[in-house]
Order: sequence, then structure tokens, then C-alpha cells
Amino acid sequence: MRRGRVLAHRLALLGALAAVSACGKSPEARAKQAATTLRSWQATARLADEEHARGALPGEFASQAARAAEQGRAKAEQQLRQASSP
Amino acid sequence: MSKLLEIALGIVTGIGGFLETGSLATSAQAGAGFGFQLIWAIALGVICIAFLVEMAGRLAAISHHTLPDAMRERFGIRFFLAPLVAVALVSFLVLAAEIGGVALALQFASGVSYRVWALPVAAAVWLLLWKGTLGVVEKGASLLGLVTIAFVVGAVRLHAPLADVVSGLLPTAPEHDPAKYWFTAVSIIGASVSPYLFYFYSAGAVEDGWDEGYLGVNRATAALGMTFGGGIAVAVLACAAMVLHVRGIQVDRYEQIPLLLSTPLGRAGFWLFVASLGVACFGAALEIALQLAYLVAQGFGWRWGENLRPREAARFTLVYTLALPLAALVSVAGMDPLKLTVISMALTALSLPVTVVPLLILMNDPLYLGEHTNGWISNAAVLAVSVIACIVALVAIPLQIMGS
Repeated sequence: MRRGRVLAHRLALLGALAAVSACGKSPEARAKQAATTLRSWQATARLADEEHARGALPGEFASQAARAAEQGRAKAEQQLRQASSP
Repeated sequence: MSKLLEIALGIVTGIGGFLETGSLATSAQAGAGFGFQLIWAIALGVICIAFLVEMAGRLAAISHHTLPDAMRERFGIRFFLAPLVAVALVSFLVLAAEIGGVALALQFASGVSYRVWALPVAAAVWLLLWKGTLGVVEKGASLLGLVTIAFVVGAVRLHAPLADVVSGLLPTAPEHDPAKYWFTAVSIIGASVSPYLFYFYSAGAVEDGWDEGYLGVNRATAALGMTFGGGIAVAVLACAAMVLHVRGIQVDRYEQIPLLLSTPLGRAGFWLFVASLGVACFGAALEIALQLAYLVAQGFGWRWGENLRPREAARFTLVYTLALPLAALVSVAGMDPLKLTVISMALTALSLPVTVVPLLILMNDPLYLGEHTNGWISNAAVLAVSVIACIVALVAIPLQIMGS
């Protein structure tokens, strides 16, 4: 009785893991997501530049935002390359 | 007259105390990623937390028990360990996220990394808890938190369309990225329905000596305070929709969020954002550290009270003294503050049944509540939101982790 319950739990866990694994993203979907992220960081850098130019952001923070955008862009480009490579 | 003042102060506390790093980050992510589409998740969270806060206050006023105290007495110590561990774990993660939020605000202002600021922030929180009283922690931090009203001003300046805000109240299917949509939805609900809010509220009500005469104040505070507080989270979402979503910017790091206020309000907006993030997270860190100490001390029957001197409640004091530096170490180690925030909010949603169901059982027990037990509407609303949030979190968390 108890062994049967343990087996049922293990099967349920395996089923859940299989379902989650099946939902993993395809290379195309990963490439699309990386491209969206890349565009997002490019737009962030543009907006931060504009805001700094009109005096809405202090120089210190503008450089933090630019650094974050650069790192985000580099990471997205790398993901895009990985997703595109066979 | 004094009751009206209590209600007004309670509402102000609700508004000022609602926004913290979780609701700020998740609302900004929702607005940037999905425009006005996820406002319903904030509304759902607000309804649920308003009911829970009201229940926690009613339990305190009628039975003079705090939540952990009543749970341990009603269910026994062995059962009580499950909610104790769940609430302590998510509270610790949220505390780490709040300390990270204050440290980030200081980084934005000074240029010095948040990893350097984390321990001094924890020390400042500890010092205020050590020296301060409950009134200072509860009211002081929340009054300062009113700076977050800047987001409402920002949303008005951006001319956020009211029709879109209202239509966002109705849940709709996502047009893209469903895993991210549902993950963001459960993170928003987790941020709104943080257990620390109602655990802290119940401890505060007992420490302030509430009785049956406070039921009206409690109801008004819970309903109006949480609704207005939720309004600020909606304003954050609206600012993100108007500033970031229209430009195709999704929120992947905290450095993108100050643009929400600098765009409509200029340089003042940037500083208002820094103040909002710093003050709101500092207030939340105070409350969560205190709530952790309340939880453990009340759960194990130790002497407790923020109004007592530290040496009069030594083990209670020891809990927040240990929790604060440990939580700060998460930021010192370099954990990404936005990821930490969003994951801790999703885990909060996942743990809701464990933290909420025992409360619901207590709230239906005439031994504790007499004639003031729950009605079916509050039972059904809280149970439905908790169970749905938990199920969606169970599906969305693994999908989101695999997707990213």
C-alpha cells in the first residue's frame, strides 16, 4: 500500500518534470527572445542618452545606465549567436 | 475624533507602506512587458491582502492573540512549524530584496556599488529597531513612504489613458510570451499578498492593545489603506506602460526603472524615484525584520515587543540581530537584486496556501472570534486567490526559469 503510494508520487513527479522539459524553448524562440532583449537594451541606451542630454538624469546615473545597457546588449548578442549556431 | 484620526493614520500607513521593492519591480516589469494588461493582478492582490489584513486585525482585537501565537495554540507546535518555516523563508528572501533595494537607491545616488552599501543599510535598520519603538517603525517609515505618490503624479503627467487602465482590470490572455505573462502575474500577487504585511499588522495590533472597539478602524484601514496603496502600484505600472512599453523596453535590470519618473518629471523625477525606492524599501526592511522576530518569538512563546528594551526581550532582539546581516550578505555576494526580488515574490505566491489556510481556519473558529467569525465572501475570496496564485506559480516558475 505504502510502496504503491511512493510509486504514484514518483510517477507524478516524473510527469511534471517531463511536462516542464517539453515546454523548453526551441532555438527559434530563444533567438526571437534574444533579439527582443537586444532591441530593448538599445532603446534603453537611447532613452537614457536623451534624458541625460535634456538634464533629466545626473551624469553619474547616466553612466550607470549606459554600463547596464552595454552589459545587457553584450549578453543578448551572445545569446543570439548561441541560438543561431547549429 | 480620535477614531477618525486613527483611521486617517491607518490609511496613510497603508498608502505609504504598500509600495516596496516587490510591488515596484513587478509593476514596472508588468507595465513594460504587457502595457496595461496586468492591472487585474494588482487588483486581485489588493482584494486578497485587504481581506487578510482585516482578518489579522480582527483576530488581534477580539482574541488578543497574534497570528503565530493563535496558530501554535490551535494546531500545536508540530503543525505550526510548516507555516513558520514557509513565512520565515519567504520573509527572509523579501528582507534580502528590500535591503538590496535601499542599497541600489544609494548606488544610483552615489555611484558606489550596492554590494558596498548592503551591510551599512542592514546596520542602519538594526540600529533603528534597537533604539526605536513600534510607533517610530510603523508610522514614521510609512509617512516617509508617502513620497511614492510621485508615481501618481508621473502617471497623470504622462496622460495615462483611463480607459486602458479600467480595461486592464479585466483579465485577458497574453498576446505574446505567456510564460512571462503568468510569471509576472503571480509575482505581482506575491508582492501584494506578502505574509509579512498581515503578520506584522496582527503583532502591531496586539502591541497597541486593540480591543473590540477597534473593529471599525481596522476595517476602514484595511480596505482604504490597501486600496489606495494598490493605486500607487497601478500608477507605477501605468508609468512603465507609457514610458517603457511604447519604446519596446522590457525591465531586465533596476537601472531601467528610474526612467519611469525622470521622463515625466525631469531631474526632480529621478531624485523622487531614488527617494521612493530608498525610503519604501527601508520601511519595508524595518517591518520585515521586526515581523521575523515577532514570528519566531511568538511562535515559540518567548517574550516579545518592540516597545520593550532589548535586554527585556533578548531572544526576540537576537532574531532580527541575526537576520539582518545574513540578509545583507545576499546582496554583498552579488545576487542580482531584480532577480532576487521577482523570485522571492513568486515564491511568496507559491507559499500562500500554507500561510493563509491556517489563518482561515482560525478566522472561522468561534472560540477565538466569538460572533465575529468570517463570512463566506471573505473565506471564498482569500481561498480562491491563494489557491489560484499557488497553482499558477507551480506552472509558471519552472517555465520562466527554463525560458530564461
